[in-house]
Amino acid sequence: MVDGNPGDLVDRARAGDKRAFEELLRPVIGSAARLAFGMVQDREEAEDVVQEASLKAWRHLGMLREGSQFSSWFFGIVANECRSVLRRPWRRVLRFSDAPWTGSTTVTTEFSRNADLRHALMALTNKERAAILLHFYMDQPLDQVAASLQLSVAGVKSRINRALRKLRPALRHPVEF
Amino acid sequence: MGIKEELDEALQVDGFPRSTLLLGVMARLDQRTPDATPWKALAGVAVVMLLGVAVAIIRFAHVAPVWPADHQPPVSLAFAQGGLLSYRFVSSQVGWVRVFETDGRTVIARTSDAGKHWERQLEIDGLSPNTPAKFLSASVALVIGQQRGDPRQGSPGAGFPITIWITMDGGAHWKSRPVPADAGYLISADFVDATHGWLLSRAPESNNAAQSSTVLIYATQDGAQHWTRVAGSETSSALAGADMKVRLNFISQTTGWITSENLTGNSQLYVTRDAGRSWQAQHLPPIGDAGPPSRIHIDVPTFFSPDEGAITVTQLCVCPAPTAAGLSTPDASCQFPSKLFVLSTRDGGRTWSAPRRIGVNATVAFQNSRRWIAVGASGISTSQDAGASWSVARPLPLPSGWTPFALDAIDRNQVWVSIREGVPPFVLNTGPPRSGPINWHFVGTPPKFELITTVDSGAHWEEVPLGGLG
Repeated sequence: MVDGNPGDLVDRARAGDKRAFEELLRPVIGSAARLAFGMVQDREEAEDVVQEASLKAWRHLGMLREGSQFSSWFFGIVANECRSVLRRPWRRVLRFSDAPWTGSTTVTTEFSRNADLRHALMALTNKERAAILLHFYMDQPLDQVAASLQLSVAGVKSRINRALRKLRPALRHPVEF
Repeated sequence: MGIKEELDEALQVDGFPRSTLLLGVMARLDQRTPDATPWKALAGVAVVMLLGVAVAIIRFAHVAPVWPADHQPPVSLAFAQGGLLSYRFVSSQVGWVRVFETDGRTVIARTSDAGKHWERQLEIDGLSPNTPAKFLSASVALVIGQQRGDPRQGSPGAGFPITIWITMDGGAHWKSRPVPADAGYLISADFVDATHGWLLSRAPESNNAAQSSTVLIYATQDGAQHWTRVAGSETSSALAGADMKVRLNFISQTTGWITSENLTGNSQLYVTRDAGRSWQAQHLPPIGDAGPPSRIHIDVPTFFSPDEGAITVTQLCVCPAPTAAGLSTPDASCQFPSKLFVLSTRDGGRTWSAPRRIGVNATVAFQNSRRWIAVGASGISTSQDAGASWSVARPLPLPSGWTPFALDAIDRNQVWVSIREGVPPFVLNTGPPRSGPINWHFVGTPPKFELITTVDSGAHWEEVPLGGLG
């Protein structure tokens, strides 16, 4: 049994019980999709990432260490899969969604600012972006972020600090960290 | 407001339905076997590490100078067959191919192990080989075509029904959805995601070249369940021109382009920024030496970020042909590429740079605004500075008579190149046009096709076996 995971789901999943794996995935798959969307900013890609990450988790459950949380481990796989997606940038056509324009100045400004933040996020390194999203967007504590990204807590803090400096021009409110 | 709220606002997305995500995962899980013990997983890691070391050694050994072509044995092509129409790898492992079989079937196949094995996902009889297909992701793919069948009653010349085949689960299940009958003849189609798509078609009454400018634009916002006619020659002066509209391409839910050819063979580009409702000619700086004996072919734009994109433009040299008076006139049936240009944009295509002549005669793919890769007769080459300079071409070790014609790349190391033996394009016979089914088939000896791949920037190549397809 792996600590922090319900019952013996991990053990059963390791033994090939798909229902157990489904129960492991169920509470985290929605958050994983949000993380993937934040990382790649493309809904279809995000869904693909979650599917591929889930298959990798299934195949490599044996690598989940004793005492580790399935969710942190799985988010780490998702973040890695996002890196793979973003490393294949030979997209003939990049898909992106346009804003639902209403013609209002406020909406335009809001959209523009949001676009600034999205662009700024994409300009971060993969680990910086993952650290920001896991900690601030998905409320993961620093030690869990560290477990997901296979970094020390100090390493996570330093990446978040670096990322916040880079994001500052695109943020409306200063962030204390 | 804190950073969490700002992130929530910036990354707004409709909720991901957990049940659908789980369903997709569990369906694919059935094809896999877990590593049941840590030992197996560790063994896997060890193998990967050994492979990594091996690749690193190979790469280190060939960093420079360029691997001499004549030291590489030609890649073995044991499985080369006819009919590879298009392909796309959406990740390092997952790819799709569209193959036209000699019996007239179009086959869509998918690999999840970088091409070692292919699974047939869809077979359709009687589609034109020019049928568009869009492989959007590992899960989502679309085929848009006019299948053979009886012509529509009471509408002579209206052609055959346009149909969309769509899968959302990597090809395990497909749905076919018809397009309204008055859409006429399919010219081109594009989807930016699983729900938003457009059709460029020729009106049913314009069944000859003289009326070829009567074009229609249809759009769907629900995955091809419903289609709306959003524009046409009657509402748009840009679409009403005498030039033939040949290809449609969208980069977002609102912005797209159409390329056309006029009677002299030169291209024109049109743009929409309101989801296809209105179209304007896209202004571009003067390119190359348009006019006899040259033609300018403009490809649809490629975007690598919301703002940054590029257009490749090929200057085609038209062969001179002798006349009775002994003078030469252009022979429109014979042309070859003579110069390649790239225009770039940084404002979403509103303005375009002056054309940059590219010193390679090749197919170019873009990683971003600076990093490009090219494959041509002289081999594979990369540029780190937007085409200003290119690495020495690393020749492809192809058997005699084989030439590359398209490429797809995950990064500068992992590249797939389609190659062919024989002279394109293949000739097809459409059979009896209005009575009974159309029969598409090759006339004469069809060219052979194959995919080859490299994972080390072209130092080594191997065949991607399409055995059983084609």
